[in-house]
Amino acid sequence: MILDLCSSSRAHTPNMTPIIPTANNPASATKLRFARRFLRSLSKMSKTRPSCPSSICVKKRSEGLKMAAYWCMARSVGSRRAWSRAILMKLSRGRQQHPHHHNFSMKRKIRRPTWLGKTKKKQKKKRNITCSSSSYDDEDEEEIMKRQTEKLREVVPGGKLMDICSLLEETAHFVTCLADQVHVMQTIAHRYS
Amino acid sequence: MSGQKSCRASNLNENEINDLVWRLQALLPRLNRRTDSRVSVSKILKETCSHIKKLQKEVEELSERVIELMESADITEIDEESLRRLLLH
Repeated sequence: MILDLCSSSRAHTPNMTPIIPTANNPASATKLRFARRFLRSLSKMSKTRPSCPSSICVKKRSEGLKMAAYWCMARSVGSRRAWSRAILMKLSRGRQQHPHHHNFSMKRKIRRPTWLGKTKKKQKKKRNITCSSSSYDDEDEEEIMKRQTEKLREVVPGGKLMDICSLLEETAHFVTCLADQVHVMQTIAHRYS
Repeated sequence: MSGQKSCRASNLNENEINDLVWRLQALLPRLNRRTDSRVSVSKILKETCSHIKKLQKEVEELSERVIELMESADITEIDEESLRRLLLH
């Protein structure tokens, strides 16, 4: 996918249909907005180098970059989606608590929700939280559906407050934007490797 | 969408829910090829969760990779224009 993009000749006419490996083409405007914002964050980060390039510093900075990526994507979507609003609210609370840090690299006390991905150190496996008294063998389709819906609510930002219809709609948009985000980051990583 | 507030378990418009779930299926790379066989709703939901988690993990790994590249390759100027072209073409 990345090689296809990078090896495509620059002789393509500007009117050619963009090759975007996502389901919806209208997402491309958001994708470009994200790319622009993310590059700005990257520029800022590249100018502030840590004094000791230890592995801990690298981990902290990559964590900060990850948060910046989610922030940039949520900003690019704006407030028109519940999931983006949830991300913006959550991350801006973190910025308020640490006003001295304009980037996200020094957040320590913020509880990271599941939908921002888990940090590698604190991997809490939540098992059997929604386990009912009956064993899994006896579960019918409805119980399975309930369980899967609950899991989906945990991974989609703001999912816990949505009704099922909104949850499914928001999930579809979230998945598309997340795929765009990954694609942009892959392109950047490939460009500079 | 009308009637979002009345979407409770007992009053669900099943067709509406199913439509939304099939739309999800179209976004999942592992399930959207099988258009002939019926995939159950719970399977689609399960696959959606794992797809989202997979993407989140990729974001994390890519962040690490980009930081490492920044440390080693001394990237001070990032060419926005060429990246935009890469994304568009």
